Amino acid sequence: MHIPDGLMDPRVALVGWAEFIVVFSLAFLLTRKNIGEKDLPRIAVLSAGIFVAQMLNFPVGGGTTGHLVGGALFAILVGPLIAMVGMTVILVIQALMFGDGGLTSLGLNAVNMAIIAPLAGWGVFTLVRPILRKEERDGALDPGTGLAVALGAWASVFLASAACAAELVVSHAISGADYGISATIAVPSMLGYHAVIGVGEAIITLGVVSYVWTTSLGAFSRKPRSETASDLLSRLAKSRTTQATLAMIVVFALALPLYFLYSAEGADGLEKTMEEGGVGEADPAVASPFGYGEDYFAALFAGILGFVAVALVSLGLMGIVRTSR
Amino acid sequence: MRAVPMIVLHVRAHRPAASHIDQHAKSSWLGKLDARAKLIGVTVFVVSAAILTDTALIAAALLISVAFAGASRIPAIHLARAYGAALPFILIASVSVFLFGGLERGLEMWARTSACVLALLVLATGTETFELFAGLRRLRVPAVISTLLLLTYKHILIMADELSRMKIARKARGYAPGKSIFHMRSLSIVATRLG
Repeated sequence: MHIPDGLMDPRVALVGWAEFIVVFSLAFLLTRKNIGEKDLPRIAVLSAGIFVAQMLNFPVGGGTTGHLVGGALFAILVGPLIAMVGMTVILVIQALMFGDGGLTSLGLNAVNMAIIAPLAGWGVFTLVRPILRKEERDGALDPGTGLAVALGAWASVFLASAACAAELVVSHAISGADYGISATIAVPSMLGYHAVIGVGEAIITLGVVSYVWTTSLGAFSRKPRSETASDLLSRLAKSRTTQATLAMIVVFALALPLYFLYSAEGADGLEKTMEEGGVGEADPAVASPFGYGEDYFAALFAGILGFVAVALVSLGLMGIVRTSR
Repeated sequence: MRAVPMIVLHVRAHRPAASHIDQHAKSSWLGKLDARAKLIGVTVFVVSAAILTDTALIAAALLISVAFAGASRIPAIHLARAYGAALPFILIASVSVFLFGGLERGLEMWARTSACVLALLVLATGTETFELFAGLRRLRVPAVISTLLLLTYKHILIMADELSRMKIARKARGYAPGKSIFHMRSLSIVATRLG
């Protein structure tokens, strides 16, 4: 999922950098109070561990391999804000040490893997956990929490790859086929491939989290502070469910600038492609083998994202109602 | 952050472990150049190459990039292997552009991304990683981030060492990488190790 330089339309890369700088600065300012010099080695150890885990490839099938992203793992262990900072550090090291992922595309890579992946992983985990968890257990990881961890890990990879696919498609559409990858190729290959990789991610994340959970929970995560605030509003602000819902909303809000860019420039770009490629709308070479053409995938894509967004927001609202009662 | 000089010393002490990562860093004039100059130079090149859409200019950028790689005296096989890792993504994009925008644009896509990737790879392999991060620090990247970069890099070296030892141990027990996750022989060895 590491996008190299020169692949994305410069405008999309710019949007990526802008989003990355805004969200990262916010995360950085919010964590600054909590990060002391003593915490840095702890974050560094986790970043390094995830970096090394990313170098291990597991077979996906069909001769291809996948590797861990680690955003969900990081966020579930230390919280989403520190995870964003740590994942960004990993991406910078990968770009400067191995040339893996580009400089102009660092913003987009960071949005996908250092912002969306941890936020989505942590958000899904936190929202789903209270529903699945049957009993409180000290020490060992209960099955409900385990399932929530696996779901969060899978969702983190899937949503990050969906964001990556969306960036590729928008690049393709607004540049008139100079940059990016067409929707007919990008959406099925990115989403299909990463739906499978997500399973590997879920298994590894579950393994690591349950190991850390039973052996040394206190080493990475802090006990949640007791919520003593009396009035409804501050209780809402402090509740995990609200924070997780907010995280999911941020994940989907990140797609909005791309959407506006697409609707402002996309139609022109598509027409330009058609004209320069010398094909009309009804040309069978373009229409087959995916009978519905580009619109079909755009609609499918928007439908999936919309469904997930609605489901998560309603889950969050249910949780808020329950906690405030 | 006052702790930084101490951490710098600490990371420097781990340099022997970094030798295989930075093995080509000292082999030429490029390795001796200030890391800041290289960082800024490559960034400017990559940014300007990434916005090119004119065929002649893209060809020129690719030529410059290849010439830069040649002048850096980093062994071509090493660069080729690293470039191969980025190739699938580049090829999918090029083929996609070729299918929807024609042959010339497909080639342009390939040349543009290759020029950028190659320049970045020369920067990454032609510079000691430690120097790069120290250069970033002198380019006024916030102290918390540059410290985190250095610390993480140090732990990566330690863990990579550990990983290679584990791989050797696994090999000594007759492990061969399987073609699928259900490859029985590999699975049995992994299972034995776990149990």
